[in-house]
Amino acid sequence: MDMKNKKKFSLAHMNDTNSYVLKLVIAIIVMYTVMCLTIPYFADFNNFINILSAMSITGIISFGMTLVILTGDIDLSVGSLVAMTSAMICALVNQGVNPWLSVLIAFLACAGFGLINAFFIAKKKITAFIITMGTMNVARGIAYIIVGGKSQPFDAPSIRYFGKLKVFGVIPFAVVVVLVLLAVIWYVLKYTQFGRNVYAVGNNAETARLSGINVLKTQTIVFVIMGVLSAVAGFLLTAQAYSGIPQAGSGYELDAITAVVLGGTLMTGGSGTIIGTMLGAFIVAVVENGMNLMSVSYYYQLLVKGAIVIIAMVIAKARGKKLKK
Amino acid sequence: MENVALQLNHIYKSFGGVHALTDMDLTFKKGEITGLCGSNGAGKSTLLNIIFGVYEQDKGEIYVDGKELKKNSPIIAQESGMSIIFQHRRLMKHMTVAENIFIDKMPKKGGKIDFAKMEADARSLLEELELDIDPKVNVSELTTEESQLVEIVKAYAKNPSIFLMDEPTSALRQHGVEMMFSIMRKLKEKGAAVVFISHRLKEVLDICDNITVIKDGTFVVTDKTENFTASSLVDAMSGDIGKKMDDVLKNAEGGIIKQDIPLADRIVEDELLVEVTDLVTDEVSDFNFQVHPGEIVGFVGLGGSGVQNVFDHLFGMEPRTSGSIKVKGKEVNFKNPIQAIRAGVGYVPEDRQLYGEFLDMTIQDNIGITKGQKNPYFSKIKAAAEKVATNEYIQTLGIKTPSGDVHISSLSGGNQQKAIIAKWLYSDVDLFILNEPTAGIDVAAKTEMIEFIKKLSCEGKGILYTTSYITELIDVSDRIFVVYKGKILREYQKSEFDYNRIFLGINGIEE
Repeated sequence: MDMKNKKKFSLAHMNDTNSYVLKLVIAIIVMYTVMCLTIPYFADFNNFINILSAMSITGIISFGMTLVILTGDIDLSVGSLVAMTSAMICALVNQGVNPWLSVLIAFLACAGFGLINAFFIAKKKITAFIITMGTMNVARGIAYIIVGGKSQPFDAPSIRYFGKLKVFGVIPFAVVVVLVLLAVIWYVLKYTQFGRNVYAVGNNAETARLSGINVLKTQTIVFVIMGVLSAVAGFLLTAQAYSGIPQAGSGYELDAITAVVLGGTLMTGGSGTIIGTMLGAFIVAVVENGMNLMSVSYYYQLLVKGAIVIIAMVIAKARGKKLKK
Repeated sequence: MENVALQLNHIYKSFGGVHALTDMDLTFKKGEITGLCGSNGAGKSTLLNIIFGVYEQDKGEIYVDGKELKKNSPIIAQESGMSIIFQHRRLMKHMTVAENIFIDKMPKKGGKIDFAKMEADARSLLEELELDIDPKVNVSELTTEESQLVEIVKAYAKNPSIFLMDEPTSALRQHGVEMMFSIMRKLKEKGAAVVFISHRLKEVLDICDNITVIKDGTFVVTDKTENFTASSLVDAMSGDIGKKMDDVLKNAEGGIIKQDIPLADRIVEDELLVEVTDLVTDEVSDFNFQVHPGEIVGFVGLGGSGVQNVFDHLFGMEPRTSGSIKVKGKEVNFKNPIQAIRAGVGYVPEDRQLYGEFLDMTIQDNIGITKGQKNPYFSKIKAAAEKVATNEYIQTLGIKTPSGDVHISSLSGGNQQKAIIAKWLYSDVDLFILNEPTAGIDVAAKTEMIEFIKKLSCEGKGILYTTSYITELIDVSDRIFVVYKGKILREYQKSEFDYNRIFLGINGIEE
């Protein structure tokens, strides 16, 4: 009997996060339309695929970063883990190890780094910023030690296959991976006990502890997932480049954080969505792509990217204040 | 009127419809120490915060030295000669004692801080006050007592004409209290007006020249200290609070309030829910008590008495030293809350917003999350079952909300508290540890909450209850343990409940 009333209420009370995602979608549509009309070749379907392809690798990392930031932490080691994955796969294959076994070993190594991060951050309660800055350098160092200062080619057709694979002849494999991961993580965050724990820990870790949530376990799983997703990104990058690149992934952690913040996740944790992160990563990719098509120099691109981060932080701050009320 | 330092004229203040202060008319004279007394929630701290410009009064004027403070803020208050000491210490841990004392007016020489002079000044100040503290050490190296004294020195160094003290003694022991008293007397000799709030009646009676009693935000009496005794002071403070509570309960009768069900009808005599034997922790010793299913056991003590500490132990938040705790006949040694919850213990913390709820999550998630921990991490949340349960709790507990899908932060304090209790009901716990469950909720919601807690006991739940509101404790409890300095002073049966005796008891005074 008060069905009507309830509906109305829930609409009016549409939570802040959802309404932010809605605003992002509108912003993207407007931006995309304007760019289609003003920038030559931008409207091409192939260009759309280019954009998706360009965002796929940092997109995967930003998904993991969303989980980390939702629990109220940060992980700076992700870019280096991409490089370490690349270096390990390359070196192991060149040593004659089975390519998929090499990939598995690289994945386990990254998961191990996630465990190490979690041990210091969740168990020893040391600031995530400092610990992951440390592991960032360690992982980068390992990458250089393994393959030396320069990229090295390797020979494994089965891996190369995934670098070149286009599903239905058009969609790059990496894009498919992004979309699958998006769906999986969306489901996990929205519908599983683990997902709810992630929000709860970020919302209020002390309340979480007093509510019987295993905070340590929740944080550990999050950092391990982050490590594995970095490995996935590293694998895709390696398959595309077909070489082990020790310099790979530098700055990815900042790109990922940009996407997450732009996507509406609060840096303090507890509030945000994976869809928002996807949209955030998409916006960055669209802007970059547009600037490339207009032949804007890389130096100016950096200015724009920096400005986006600052604007996103200002918006986040304003929202954070509103939420506190 | 020459010697009036501070005058308050018809001060009113309310917080969201709750009257904290009504028509407060007070005068504080130079060279006198005035004790400000009142039971919890009487408005003492609110009053000090208004005088010091932390809050703005709704109505009324503040006169300092006969001049009205038209605009007030902590900075203006300090400029007009006020100094304040809060209950909680606010020193910079990683700076030296000297730096802390002179933090806002460090002596300078040639544009640089003159550390030598600052240290010398601090040293002579500390010597003047006969305190054996090295001005060169970092505050982090001091004991809590020493750092509380440094706080007082810091306020003293400003040479205040009005000295406000909001429970400065809770961190002090006997010696520290005496040191503080001597500083207060020095200030008094210098002609300052000292306003002193303390829960410890003995201190108030010892040091103050006058005592002003307030109650429920209104003025009760001001008189010379020699005209008070401990028990007459308690009488003045409690006055008809007890009666007023009864009125509230009576008014609600027929509505929410039902007849109390006698203990004999709800208690399960031959079963023990909790049995604590010879418990020793870092704050308490020789704690022995039992809780039967269906029984409400009240604990009361001043801050630091150890009640909180014992409650924390029962919920696995603190390791224990020795002694035994049995829950439902089984010896337990909880290492964390997860184990306590598994054994059937639920905990409602004092600070709801900080420790009790997830403000950015829905009511349903707040209620369902604890029980959900029993399921595998990557299993689907049993949303349908949680929804049914949440709606049921909204009905039975009378949580005022359009649905369970709104953020818990949109509820009023009382309704938030009900949702937190619903979380434990949904998790099927048998023992409820309730730590100030009525803090920060209005009178009507309070009555409803108390009634609900009584209902819980009728369903065979055991309840450990603590509150600093003694009337409330008397109303809700079947037995009351008075705790003083880490020891159980006395156990009162329902027939022996007496407001004044309990009040004196928490002050360590036995009659």
